[in-house]
Amino acid sequence: MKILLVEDNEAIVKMLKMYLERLGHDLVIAYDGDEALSAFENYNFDLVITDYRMPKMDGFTLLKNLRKISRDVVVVLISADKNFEKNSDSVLANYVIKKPFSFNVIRSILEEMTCKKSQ
Amino acid sequence: MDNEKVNILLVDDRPEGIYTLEKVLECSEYNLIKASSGQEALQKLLTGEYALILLDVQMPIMDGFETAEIIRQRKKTSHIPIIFVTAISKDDHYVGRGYETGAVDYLLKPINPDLLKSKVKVFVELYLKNNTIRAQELLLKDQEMAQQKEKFNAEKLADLKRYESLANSVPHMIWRVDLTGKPEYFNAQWFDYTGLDFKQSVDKFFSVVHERDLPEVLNIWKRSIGNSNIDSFSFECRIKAGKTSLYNWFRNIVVAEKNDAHENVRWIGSSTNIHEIKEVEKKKASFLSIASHELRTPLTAIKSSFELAEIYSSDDIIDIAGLQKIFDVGKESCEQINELLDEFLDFSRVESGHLSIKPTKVNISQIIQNSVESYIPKVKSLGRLNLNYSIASEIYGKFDGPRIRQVVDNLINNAIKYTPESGNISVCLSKQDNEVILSVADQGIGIDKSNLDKIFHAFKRADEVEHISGLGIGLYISSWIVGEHKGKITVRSSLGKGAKFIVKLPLNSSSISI
Repeated sequence: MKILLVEDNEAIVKMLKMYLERLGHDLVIAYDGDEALSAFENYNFDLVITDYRMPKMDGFTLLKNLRKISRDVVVVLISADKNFEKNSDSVLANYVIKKPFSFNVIRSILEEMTCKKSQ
Repeated sequence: MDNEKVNILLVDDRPEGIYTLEKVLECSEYNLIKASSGQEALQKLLTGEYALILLDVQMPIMDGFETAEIIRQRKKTSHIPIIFVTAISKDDHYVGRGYETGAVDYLLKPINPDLLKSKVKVFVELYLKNNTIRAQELLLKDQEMAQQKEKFNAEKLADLKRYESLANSVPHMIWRVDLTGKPEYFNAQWFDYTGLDFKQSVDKFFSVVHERDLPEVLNIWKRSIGNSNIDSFSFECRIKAGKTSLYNWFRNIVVAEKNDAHENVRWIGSSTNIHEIKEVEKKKASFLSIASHELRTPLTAIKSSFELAEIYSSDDIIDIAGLQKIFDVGKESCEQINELLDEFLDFSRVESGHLSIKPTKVNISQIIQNSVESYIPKVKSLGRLNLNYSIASEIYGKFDGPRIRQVVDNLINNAIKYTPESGNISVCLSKQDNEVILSVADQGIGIDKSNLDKIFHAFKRADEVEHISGLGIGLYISSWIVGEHKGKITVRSSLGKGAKFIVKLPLNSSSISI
């Protein structure tokens, strides 16, 4: 799967990169919303994993812009806020996961996507 | 009866007797009242005040002695002097009886006009003197009462003034309402803050309360104000300031004033401005939310590193280099959490006054150099930045080395954090007169002019960096440390044009309080 990871924290990027590449996925990394949008215009992604709190553009704004380009791409929004799901904008994301998340959650999302694709 | 004249009662059954007395005594000063019998005399005495009674002894039915006895028995008349007039009284028996019944003097017929006049004059003068004394007594009493009343009123007024000046000297708004809730009094602070006059305050008492708080306020008010079982009640609400039309939070405490029977008679209210406290509460809540947010990011990295290490270590051939990378991430993230906790602690120490500066003689050039060098690997790994520095060597002074290092670290860290694109970061240390000047300049996002004054306050990060991670207390602590060294931290910046922070520290150690 081609995955776009949007995250400004170097440590989290390193860990997710090692994990996802180990599972055999193709990963592109963007450190902010602008980088993410330009990457999104150049490649076709199956999945976008994005942090909410980022420099320049927050996760919601990025999500709205992504949805203008693609309504189908699966988006996972990562947030550190407990009450995040109450925000109406979060419906634009397919999944909302909270920090600190477990790799198992990411894996089950990937498996679910694979299942749907094969159906 | 004429008030100006003195009443004299003439009692005689014979008209010629009365006539003689009348003729002798007739004058502008006397009012001569005539009675032709004892009964008539007693009747006349019932009304009016008499100075003297001239009483004929020999009268039919009730003679002079009997009449005199009754006059003496009556309380109202017992004090009136009686002069007996008689033709037969040369005899001692008569005289004696006359004195027994209360006569004060005798006049013998035929009347000697001069003697009569002089005797009457004496008694009238006595009467008048008594009257004057009585009048003076009454006057004195009146004056005394008036003085007492005046004193009482003056004391009451002084009390009132003292009460008002007391109410006006406190920072709170003080007001008083009756048992129906109708306002009766406001102190100066009320008028000053609300901008209303007395009439407006009475008519539109609740108009100053924020509409969002009004239903709750009215609810408590109606429940409490007429309730005789309640001694006090309180509520918080926003109250509009007349000058700015802005609302501030107030805590209102309303206490019942009691009478001697311990019944509520009115309510006294005090409104305390708690806006700053509320703002701090709000900021602290937002600080806690930011802080927990900030902790979750390195925590996520640590959790991921454990999970990943677990996965890697289950491989048949262990990828040592991969594992090492994972452990490094875990360690770095632990370090990041530690730094955050240090920041929390510093903040709470500054707030509670427990952070102190311990200056010793140090080479500040070395401290700055060490700080800059520690950032070189990070800047290199990011790739987008150039870190330039020009540090004058061997500047010695009395500083708290670790705290100064903290300031430089904070400034360089900020410069890196807020320069997301490529750019230069310049650190410069120089000595000028008796000052050491440190500047850290970047070409990053900059700070809007309207935010420049608030970046050194706790929790007040500039609006444009809301999305960038950080606690918003780094500059607050840095400016506190610089301030404790009697130095100054300033910033020059505008939006999109980078920022330059300048720290000036005095080298004269005597100016540092230890």
